[in-house]
Amino acid sequence: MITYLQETDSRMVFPIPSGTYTQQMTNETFGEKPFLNFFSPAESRLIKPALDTLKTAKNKEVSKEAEKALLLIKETVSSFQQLSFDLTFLPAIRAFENEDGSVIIEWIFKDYRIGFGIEVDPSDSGWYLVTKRELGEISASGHTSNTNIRNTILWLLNFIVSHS
Amino acid sequence: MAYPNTFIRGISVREYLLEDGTVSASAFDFSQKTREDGWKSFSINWEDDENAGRFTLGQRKENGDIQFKAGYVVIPREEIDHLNHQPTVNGMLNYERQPLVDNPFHGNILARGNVPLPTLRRIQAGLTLIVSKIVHRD
Repeated sequence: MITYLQETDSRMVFPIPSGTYTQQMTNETFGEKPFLNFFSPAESRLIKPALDTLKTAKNKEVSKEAEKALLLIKETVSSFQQLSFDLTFLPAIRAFENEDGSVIIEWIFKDYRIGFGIEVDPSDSGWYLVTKRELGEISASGHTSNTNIRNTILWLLNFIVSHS
Repeated sequence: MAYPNTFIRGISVREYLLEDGTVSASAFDFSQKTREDGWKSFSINWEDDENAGRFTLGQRKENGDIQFKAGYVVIPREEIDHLNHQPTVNGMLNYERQPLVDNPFHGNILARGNVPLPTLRRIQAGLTLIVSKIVHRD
């Protein structure tokens, strides 16, 4: 069976490959709406190492912010997968704690890396993208406070897809 | 002042050296405080001769513990010069030699103290891309 996902605004309909989600009927008696769990095991692998690091992080506030960012990345990846993008090549995201309690979330690829600095003072937190010479030595960064981080993640994921 | 072609950054945290042969940007974390001359810094050892690597691995803290438990990475000086000339870095970086009584190789990589943290993190990530050699302790 092929399930279709309708994107509300454009009314475009995209087929969802079978096996990318599981359907759970939690309460059949009262006709509860089925809950679609779009997170595949591959997606769990995506942020698990980083989440494991955050469990032992010294600064719980920083850790909480870092976890939020990770879940947002996972959600964005998930939305791409719902549109049939093959993102199984994505390496796991890692988190590293600095001496001052800040955390760097890093997504490391062969010729580039993407990162998020989750700082002790949230107004200092930001993102970056750097590439090797092979990809033109792109070097971009910005603050995440007072910006729509969801749009930044979307832009970064578009970069990943177009350079895969 | 004369500088050798490469410098060494000792790595204390094992997690910063990854199993896939890469290094975390956290390995190049600059000091929180800005010096009186306006620079932030992190310590390096200039690779003046073939003993510098062995010396770095042998460095110990005041309490006698090994300083760099994970190992060290090597970066060519010309790569940091190249990075510093990128339009998006544009002179924010510098380096110096600062020999200590117990460490003749010692020096610092410097970043301007007024650089916003996201930019500093980007520069740290840029340094990871120009690492030419990783030496694990074990």
